[in-house]
Amino acid sequence: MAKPNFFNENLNRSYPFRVGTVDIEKAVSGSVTLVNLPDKFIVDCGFILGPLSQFSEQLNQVYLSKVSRPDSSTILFEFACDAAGISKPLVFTRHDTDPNFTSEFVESSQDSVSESTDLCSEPEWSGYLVTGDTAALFSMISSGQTIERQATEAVIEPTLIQNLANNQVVSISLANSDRTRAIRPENCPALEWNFVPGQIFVQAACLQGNLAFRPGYNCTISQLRQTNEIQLQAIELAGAGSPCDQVPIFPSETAPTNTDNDVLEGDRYCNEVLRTINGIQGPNVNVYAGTGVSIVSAENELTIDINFRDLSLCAYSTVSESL
Amino acid sequence: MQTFYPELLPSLENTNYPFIPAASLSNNSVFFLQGTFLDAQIYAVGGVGNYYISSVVITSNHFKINIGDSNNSTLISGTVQLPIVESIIELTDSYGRPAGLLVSEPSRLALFSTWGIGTHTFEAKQTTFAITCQIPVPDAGVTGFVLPDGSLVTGNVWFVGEDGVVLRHEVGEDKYGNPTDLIRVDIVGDPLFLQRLCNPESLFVPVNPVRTVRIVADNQTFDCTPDEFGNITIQMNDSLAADAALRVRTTDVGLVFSVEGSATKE
Repeated sequence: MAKPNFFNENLNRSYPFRVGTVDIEKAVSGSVTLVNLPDKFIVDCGFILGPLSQFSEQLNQVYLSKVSRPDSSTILFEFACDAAGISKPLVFTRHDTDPNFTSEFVESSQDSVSESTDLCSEPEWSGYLVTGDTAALFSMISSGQTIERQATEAVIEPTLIQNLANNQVVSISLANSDRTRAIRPENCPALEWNFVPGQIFVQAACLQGNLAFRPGYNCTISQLRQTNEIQLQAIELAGAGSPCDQVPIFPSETAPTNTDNDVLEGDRYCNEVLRTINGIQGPNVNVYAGTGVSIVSAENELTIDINFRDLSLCAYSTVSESL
Repeated sequence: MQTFYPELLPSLENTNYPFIPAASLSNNSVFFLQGTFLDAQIYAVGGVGNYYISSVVITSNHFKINIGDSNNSTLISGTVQLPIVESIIELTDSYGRPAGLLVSEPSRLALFSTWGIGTHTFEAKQTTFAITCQIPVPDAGVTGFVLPDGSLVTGNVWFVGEDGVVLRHEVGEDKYGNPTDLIRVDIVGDPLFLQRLCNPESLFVPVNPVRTVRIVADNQTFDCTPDEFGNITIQMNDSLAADAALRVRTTDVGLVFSVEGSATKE
């Protein structure tokens, strides 16, 4: 006698569900839940939990959460997972014209509108489903009926789950934290930017595929094959040399709107601030009045009066004399 | 009563599965019983297949199962704490990434308590897993970034430039002329970094620096601004008289303005 194949055997046993979580005969007075799902409905399935799923074999499970027949010709199988990174169910569709052992592969992002806005649109998880006796399916579930799961029911065998949580880099995103912004003294008008400073500014999100590092200003990049390391070093004039202008931390970065220069951090250029007078550095430069000079200061004013104070003056007449 | 369709796991307990039929399950010192493990699934990052149990380390409070491939005998491992309560042994690699699982039962795993404390090693031919237990892992390229403290960063990774390092995205060409994404690293400094070092910000009191020296003489006004280095020079000069009496001297204590001449007699 020919040995029945894998799917045929699974028509008559719990697999791919854990033993005792399906195919329990309905109590006379009880309502139908997924624990009453006959073995012959589902013969195989498998799931791949994505890198962002946060799935843990010890803590989480994949289970059939709902079977529904929204119209006369369609049955939906909805699988769910209780891992923190899984927010969408996987929904498999069967039509009354499908043959036995129809298989289908589904990714969580395919029928999910909101997930398209998720970072990098990476599917949270994916899976395949092989259903058994299609005619029996449609004969048992009436149109408009939904069979829900109760806790501990219809749990998938753990070896049918491939857990890829945290096992790869999905994408690289680039950002820069804010530069140190100048602060004006209390008695001066505060600097104003046409963006909110102090944030982390995104340069590029979700870069995938082959990426390369390029050394920019004052930078060298080397690769050490022995240790599988990438080394970035700051060396003056290396890479692209020294910049002639300031490098914006995001493309539209501009100087404050209420300054008269274009310094991005809102500070002043070197030639806009007195650092020394005659080589004397601040912060305080003393100005003394020597012989013949008086210095008087007002609020922001220094009057240097060369009045020959304390000096002997020659006596002469401004009136012309006739010889 | 005869069971025509036994459940999957019970049907496997008297077979070598999840090991290959040819596996001896013994290292001539200790041995696995058929059914010690009921099922397995192994998918190690960077693994090359032909996984086998390379050693089992027995201690007084746990035992650790090391699984290797042809390149690395301790590629992944799973630990069972004593007393045994778990039926699923989670396998992880050296960075803690999931790499599969072994399915058993506490009563089956109790076998290890008969082995004695120590390390029990096996050869590949003794404990190779069946091919159906070995799941290929897609070659994802870079699987993680190891930080200097040994921790691993995976998933959606953010590179953030700060303290004078600016990261930018550019599009260049690879060696075949195809467009490729580039991460440009500019190291340009943070001009006001000393201000940042004054954190918290309240410790930093901004000054209002002198920016212009304005000379007011009679009805004329001159604004003197510093040179490119922030310096300004005040000199005495008189184009009409080379021996002008005005002196401007720079001393240790400051600038001295004076006029040369004889002092008034007391």
